[in-house]
Amino acid sequence: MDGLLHLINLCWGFMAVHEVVRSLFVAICALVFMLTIVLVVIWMERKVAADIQSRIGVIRTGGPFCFLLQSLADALKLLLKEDLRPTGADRWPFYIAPYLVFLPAFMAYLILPFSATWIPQNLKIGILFYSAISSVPVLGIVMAGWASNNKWSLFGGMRAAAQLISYELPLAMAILAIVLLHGTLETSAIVQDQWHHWWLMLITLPSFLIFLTAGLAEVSRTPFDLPEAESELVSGFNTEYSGMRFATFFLAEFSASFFISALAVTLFLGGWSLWGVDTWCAANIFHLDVSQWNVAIPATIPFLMKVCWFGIFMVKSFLVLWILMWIKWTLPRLRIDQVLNFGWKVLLPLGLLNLLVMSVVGLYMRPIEPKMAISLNAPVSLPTSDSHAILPATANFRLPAAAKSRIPHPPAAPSAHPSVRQPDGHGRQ
Amino acid sequence: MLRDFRLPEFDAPPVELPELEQAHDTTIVSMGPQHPSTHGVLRLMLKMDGETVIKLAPVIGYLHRGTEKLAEHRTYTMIIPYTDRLDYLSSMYMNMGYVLAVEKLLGIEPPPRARYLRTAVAELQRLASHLIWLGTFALDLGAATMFIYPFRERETILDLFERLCGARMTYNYFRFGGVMADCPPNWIQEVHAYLHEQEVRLKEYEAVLTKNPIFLARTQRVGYISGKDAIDYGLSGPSLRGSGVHFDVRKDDPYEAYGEVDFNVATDNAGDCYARYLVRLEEMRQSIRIVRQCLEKMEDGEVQTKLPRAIKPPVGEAYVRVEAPRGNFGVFVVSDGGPMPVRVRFRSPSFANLSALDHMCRGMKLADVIAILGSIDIVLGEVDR
Amino acid sequence: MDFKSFTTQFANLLTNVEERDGVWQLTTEPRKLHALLTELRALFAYPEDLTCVDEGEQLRVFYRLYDPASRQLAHVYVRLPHTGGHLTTASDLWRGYEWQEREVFDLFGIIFDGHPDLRRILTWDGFQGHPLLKDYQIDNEDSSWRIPEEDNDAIIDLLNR
Repeated sequence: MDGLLHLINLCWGFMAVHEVVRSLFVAICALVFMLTIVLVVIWMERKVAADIQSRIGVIRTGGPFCFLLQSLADALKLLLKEDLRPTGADRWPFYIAPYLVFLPAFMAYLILPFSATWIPQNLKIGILFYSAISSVPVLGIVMAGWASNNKWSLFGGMRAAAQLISYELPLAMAILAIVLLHGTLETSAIVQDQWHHWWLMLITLPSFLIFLTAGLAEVSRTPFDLPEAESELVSGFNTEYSGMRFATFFLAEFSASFFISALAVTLFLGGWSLWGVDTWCAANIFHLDVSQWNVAIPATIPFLMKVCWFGIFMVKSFLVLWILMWIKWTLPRLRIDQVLNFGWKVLLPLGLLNLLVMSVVGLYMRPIEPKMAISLNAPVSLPTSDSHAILPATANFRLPAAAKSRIPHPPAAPSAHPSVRQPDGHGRQ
Repeated sequence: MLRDFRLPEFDAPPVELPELEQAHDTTIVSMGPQHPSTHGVLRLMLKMDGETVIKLAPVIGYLHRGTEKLAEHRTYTMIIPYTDRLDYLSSMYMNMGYVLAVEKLLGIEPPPRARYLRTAVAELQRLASHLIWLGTFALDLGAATMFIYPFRERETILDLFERLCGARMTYNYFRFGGVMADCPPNWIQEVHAYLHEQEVRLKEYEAVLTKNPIFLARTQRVGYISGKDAIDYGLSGPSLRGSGVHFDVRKDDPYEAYGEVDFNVATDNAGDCYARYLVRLEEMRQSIRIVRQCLEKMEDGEVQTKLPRAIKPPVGEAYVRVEAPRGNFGVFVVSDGGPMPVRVRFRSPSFANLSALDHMCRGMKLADVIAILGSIDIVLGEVDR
Repeated sequence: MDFKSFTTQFANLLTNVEERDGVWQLTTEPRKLHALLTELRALFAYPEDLTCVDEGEQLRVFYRLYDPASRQLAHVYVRLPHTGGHLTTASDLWRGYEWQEREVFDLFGIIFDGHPDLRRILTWDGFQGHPLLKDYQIDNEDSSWRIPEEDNDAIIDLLNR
């Protein structure tokens, strides 16, 4: 019995069960949030399109709720449809492809800082995580195009592969420029860096434009929506999909659209902050103690404040998304060779140039700390003193704490990093 | 020249592309009869090397209804509704072509008011047809909003036609010797109001498309056909005038009231999709001019000459051609003195325009095929009859 | 070249000439048709129409040519027997006649020798008969509602040629 308890204790700690439970809870919350957002985004797309086309949009389902229930009705309809698979379609790629496209779109939400301390997983490699998983949908789309046993779907899949791969580089260049400027990959840290410095928006403007353009291409929105060009390919790679599988593609596309807007807001437009106006309001209207807010977000911030920040974040994201929709409903579509031409010969050189300029700017704004320099003798990223012989899989690797410094401010106290929980032994009790 | 900026001269792409013909990895793709962009039931068989078209073979006949055979078993007046259904997007013009041919056989002329009314109505029909073309062309290229705006204006024209003759699409309005009925009160004022709004809206469409770099990239140097080749294929209408050939039946061979109104013929030298687009936009502006002049010159009077109940043209044949929105629409009627014609032949412009599609699409990408098909503006009802 | 000089120069190719309302009306024999059209090619660039009229005992094929530069029209008539008529193709002179000749073949049964791709164009694959002939029996039975299989081989051959 004693041995059993010891074994359970070992397993609990080893497998960090409570960490798993927490992560599961967070993941489910993020999924629910994402699906709700997607429904709202679909409704918004239809309304914006109708408005631009001088007509009224959604007018049928859900009257009292501003017809927001229309998207829910559409989702239910898709759920109830017959699930078809064409004869001759490659079974397993056909089944798996929608999920390969959907999962990265969902996982990306984990790194979005919705509010000051509200981030599903504050990964230290936040942006890098997104860059990495954003390559996976390409695989899904190509699988869908190939497995459909349909020449038109194949065309769509091939075009999508070429386009998505081509535009990953300029997107990464734009993101890298921001990372160099702020000196961190953590999304929450990037937002805090921009908090009281609205003028950063002016410096990052070229990166913002490159990011938006490459982002439009990455989520296959007009003018880059060739992979699903309806008038040419009868819906491209998802022609042969019906019912819930089609719904998965559809959800993934709209969720990616929202995500790109949210990411743009996070990286370039100050995220959940209002560039200092919020701290001023908190200080003068709500009479909160904002003295420590430059350095760390204390745990005593009222819930209402966090909700306000969340609201600001959502408003900004929807604003950027509205601009993307505006673009979609105005411009015609580019041909694939023009898309690739533009990506490689125009956007990539611009991205590189921008990266060069921003690295100089970043260097000027943040001189390299000696501790950040990599010593040739010492191993990189040593864990701190409370490391353990066996590192559980869920450990957060931590760089030496003093390596984090902000744009001209008194250097932060090493252990008071704002949005990470205090180290408590990696989830062990 | 219709445009105020020019691309530098470029060498016309060759029609025969031997290096492509030798390609090994070719696919034969069928843009089947049901497809969002083929403007009707048309099948295009494409031989492609990746995204490049090597050869293209259209397959038509899906909408063949045997109109010419039917016409041999109907009286002359009963054939008029059949003509509506040939090019159903410019029904008034189909009516006009046939009615003019039979009137030539009969040797009668409509009264002046009918002549001006017919011309005004025909030009309004040209506006409606070009609006559909603009909407679907933009939609094929991806600009979904530019699909809605022209259709909004077309709704006004259809409402005008409904007030005039009771139908929105297949009108059966023309009669031998005139038209079915005079226009209702206030109709002319409504037409003037519409024309005024259309002018404003045309500027709006231009603002969205004409100088848009994406639109230019998709339509310039795409679907080139030289003037000489266009004539050789028997192209007509904006497809021919976009290649620099000044052939417009309204000027070369005036009919109805076209000899008495002042208008320009739109041409452009580039021979690509963009040229055809510019030509049609200019035609719309000229149509507005023509309608205004016709309505001003129209005086009170009858709208149909008195004819016997049973129409029996004397023995003979007549060939009349009109400038339909899609091109040179010819009607050939052979009569043996009886109540039904011996032969009615409809020379449809879209039939000839479509035959040149292969020539225009060689070496182009798949996306360009859609753009080119949209720019030559065919209607399958007319191609197949 | 005007009407008079043309008709005198090529009188051997023509059996009947007339000028009605400014339109040249030329009649010729089937075996001289191609030669006549070759001469006309230099004067008329635009192949406006090609059709056929079933006149009971014979078919009258009718070519309508136009020249945009001189605004001149010409009609060429050829008479053929009701069945088994052959004509040399004009598609080597004007590419616009390629499809028109296919249509005349489809609807009247006239064979154009030398045509690159003489297939039915408006009726479906496997259709029997030539509909616009006066003695074509209009099929009132229900069997006419069968939807036939499309014959892709002919088109694929054409594309691969």
